[in-house]
Amino acid sequence: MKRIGLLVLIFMQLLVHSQDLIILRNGDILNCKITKTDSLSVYYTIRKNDRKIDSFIEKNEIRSYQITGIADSIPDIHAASRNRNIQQVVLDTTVYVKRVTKWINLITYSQKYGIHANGWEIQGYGYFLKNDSKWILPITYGIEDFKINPDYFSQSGYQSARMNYYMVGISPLRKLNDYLYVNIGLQFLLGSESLVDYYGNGSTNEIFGIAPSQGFMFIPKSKIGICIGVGVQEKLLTSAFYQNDIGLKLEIGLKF
Amino acid sequence: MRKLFFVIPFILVGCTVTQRISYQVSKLPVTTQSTIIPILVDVRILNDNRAQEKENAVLFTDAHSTRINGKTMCINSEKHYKKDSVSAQMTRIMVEHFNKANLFKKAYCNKSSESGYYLTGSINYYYGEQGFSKAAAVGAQFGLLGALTTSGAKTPGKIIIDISDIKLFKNDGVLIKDLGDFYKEYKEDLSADAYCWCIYNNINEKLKDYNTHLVEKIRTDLADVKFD
Repeated sequence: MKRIGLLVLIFMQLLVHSQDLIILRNGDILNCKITKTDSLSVYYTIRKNDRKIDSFIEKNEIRSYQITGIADSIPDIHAASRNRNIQQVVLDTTVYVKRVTKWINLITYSQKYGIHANGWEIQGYGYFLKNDSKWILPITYGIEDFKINPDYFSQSGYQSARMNYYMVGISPLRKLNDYLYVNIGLQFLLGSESLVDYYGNGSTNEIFGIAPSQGFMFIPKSKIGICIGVGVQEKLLTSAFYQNDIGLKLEIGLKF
Repeated sequence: MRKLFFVIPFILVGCTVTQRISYQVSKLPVTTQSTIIPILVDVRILNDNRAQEKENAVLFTDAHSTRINGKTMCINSEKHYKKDSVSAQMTRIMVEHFNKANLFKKAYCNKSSESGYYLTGSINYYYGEQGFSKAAAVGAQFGLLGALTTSGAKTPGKIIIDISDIKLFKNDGVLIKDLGDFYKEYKEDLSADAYCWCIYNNINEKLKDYNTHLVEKIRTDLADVKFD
């Protein structure tokens, strides 16, 4: 009697396991019969509203699947355990997520409002946008022009001044979502300034400095679109008349 | 700037008012390694059973922009398809896909004299719905630049394609193989526009995916059938 009970229990267990399983990445579980797998998809049969339907699912939506094979006849306990064949497949779904890399260009115009100087800047960004990376490291280039506030300049003791410099640095973007990016930049300034004092004496100085910036940029997902940025920019220089500044940067441009 | 001129016509083509069931078969990858089923098959115009499914009713009664469960939704309303029936258009593109994928020696669309076999089936669902995009609608108010800015907008959508009773017969009416029902429900974010036209383009893209898998299913199911 005990032996019959044991056989019934094992048979019931086999019935429970007679369906294949597909576990999706979103946590859903499909009890189905897997009919075929290929490099990209899993094909299965499932019952839906009393209909037997065939369907398929892409492997990039699947966390794992389990194929259960059972022998047609079960002669005894030991044979049953031998014939039951469960194949568990856990997918490395990253293999099926296509890596996409696109080259993106931005041309932007910025208006800058500083404590000591106001100006504008035209800047170009070029970068590879990768779907599997949060960070973007653009190549940037541009020109800027600014006018120092007369009140601030009058404290310098110079009649006129002219400043030329190059900027080199990084301006990485950190992706927050599909549209919004944090922009944290650090530029190094290297150049010279020509000064004329009130006695008409001219002098030329080497200057260097740093210009950190922090802000947000809205960049559309579309191939072409308008991008908008807002941020804060600081400057620290070894200049004789313009040593530091902090101000607001409003940026608008075109993505293409 | 050259890219801009290429993109504008593309956007307009995807969202024209008279819609058709079609996609670029020429861009499908050419299958060379798979076995060609060595028969000439006439694919009969699929029976249209969509009216029997309650969920499809909205496609026949409402416009492409409608309200479902209190929400503004975009649907592939029947009103905007070309006069040729949905089932005829689906059959035609299916045949083109079969031929491009080299599924049969040759597939024909509703031309029984050319072939030794025929394939039948019934459409239960060709249903697409997606949320209305407020962002795209606002963007459209700002002209071309606004539309371009929001052209990447997406909304949650659901597309169901279901063809049942797919059967292969010999021309004398003998059933060769019952291929059963092939069903797919897509639930994902779909590209959206301001005027609800893109649902038609989205469902066409999913039909392409569906047909690609249907080809594989038929190839597998007929692998063990011996033809004369």
